[in-house]
Amino acid sequence: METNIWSKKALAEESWRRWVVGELGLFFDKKGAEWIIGSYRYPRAQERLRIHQKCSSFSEEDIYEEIEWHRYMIGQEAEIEIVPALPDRPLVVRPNVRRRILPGREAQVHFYVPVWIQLFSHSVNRRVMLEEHPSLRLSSTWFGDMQTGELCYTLETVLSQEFERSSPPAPYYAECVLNINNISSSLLDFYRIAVHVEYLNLYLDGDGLHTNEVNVNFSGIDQISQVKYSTRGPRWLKNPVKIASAREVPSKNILKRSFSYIKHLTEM
Amino acid sequence: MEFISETLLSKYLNADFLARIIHILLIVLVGLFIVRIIDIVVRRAFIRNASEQVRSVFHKGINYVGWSLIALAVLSELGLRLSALLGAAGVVGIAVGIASQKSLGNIISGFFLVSDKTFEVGDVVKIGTTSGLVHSLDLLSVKLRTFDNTLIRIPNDEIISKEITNITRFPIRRMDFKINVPFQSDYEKVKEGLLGVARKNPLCLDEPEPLFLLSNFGPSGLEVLLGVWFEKSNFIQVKNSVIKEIRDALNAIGVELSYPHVVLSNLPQSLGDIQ
Repeated sequence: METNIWSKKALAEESWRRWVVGELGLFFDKKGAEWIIGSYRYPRAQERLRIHQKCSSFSEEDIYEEIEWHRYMIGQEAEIEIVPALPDRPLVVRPNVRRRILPGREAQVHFYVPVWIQLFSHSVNRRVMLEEHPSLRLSSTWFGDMQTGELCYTLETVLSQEFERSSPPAPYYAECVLNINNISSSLLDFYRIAVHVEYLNLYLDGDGLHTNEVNVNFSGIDQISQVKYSTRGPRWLKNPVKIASAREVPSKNILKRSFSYIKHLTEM
Repeated sequence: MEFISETLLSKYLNADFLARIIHILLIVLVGLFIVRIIDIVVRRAFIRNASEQVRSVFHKGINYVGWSLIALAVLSELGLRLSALLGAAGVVGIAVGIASQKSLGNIISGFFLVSDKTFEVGDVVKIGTTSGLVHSLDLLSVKLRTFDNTLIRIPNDEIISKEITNITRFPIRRMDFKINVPFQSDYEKVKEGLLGVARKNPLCLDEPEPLFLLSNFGPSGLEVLLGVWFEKSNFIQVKNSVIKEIRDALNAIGVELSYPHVVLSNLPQSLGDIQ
């Protein structure tokens, strides 16, 4: 069984392959000039990446009807590229433990983001994205007020400090480092933050995935926080290789209302 | 006969007349070219990010004014006196204006609607009792495409005096489900079950938080309201999935949906008991 998933894979004629990433199952077959790609969402996430070698017959007949199949007329190209990507919307990170940062203090925290999987073909010397799927399905949320807010995903997670750094929960998680600087004169009661992951690159170092660092200057309750996205991979990595570019190019300084104290937007 | 044709030929096939025709053609061609250029420049440089209807108003305005000026230039070239023409046009304009007050009202209302920005092309709106997608916002009317794919034209001056609901103005909406549960139901279980539906459904938003409300004592049970927030484009999926999940959740906790019913008691054994 292979474990390295982030690379080009050869599809063999008339034989099935299955890759399982988190909750996502991907099924591949090649018939002449046509690729058949199926995606299925398992009820439970797998902790490890599973890449099943080719088998001559489709082995999961029980879920066949529920798999979403797509057929692509590719040509004689036999390689498919599988690339991780960060979610397509901002993440509202909700730490499982609330932390308070004193005025004038800085804190570095890190958390893990489940990546999306993008499939590319290299037909006629062009890299074409065929489809993309989240490895884990995150729930959606609204961040901010009704006029200026935005649709995000919710990520309930453990926020660790640097000395608590641990290995990712699974290989399809990317580590994101957040440097929060409380430049206000008030206590920062930090219970959620919106992180624009669509502005972040992904770097591969060994088997681990990492994003750029995010620097947030907190100016006060309901004030505009200054958010800066560093342009390179984390400083402590020795040989990071950029494996996926940001979905959107950030402006150098993004002023965003990152912290929210609006608890109940629901009105009768 | 020969004399007439010679006269016509000498009148219309002389160099002066041909030069005038060429001149008029040039005026028309150059005029149309300039109008087109102005239209493109305005659209690309000044109103690139404006809404569809603002762009449409500018496009129509530039074209109407441009074509009118070209027509006036052509008439002038043909030897018509513009001052007399404009005077006549003024008189005719007043007559037409009096005769078409309604249309003028529509045009003025149309400008108010555009400046008011209550809705734009592509929004889903409810005007009075009519719902649909705004197909176009024209000089005299707004055209709605209904959900069963018919086109409805509503004059602007009617819209201005009616209540307008813009259903898709904001990116998220709340959908309310009114549920009747029997009076004897376990309130906490019902609350937990219904909020669980909102939490588990991937189309429902975590925040704003779902709303649970015991809204009233109904004739056949407690009236409960569950409000879930969702992305506006998922209206149908949310409606279908949440209704099914509410039914499943209530079944799972042993609560039946209550429906209007009448309880009949046994009649007394003999009519004499009543007397």
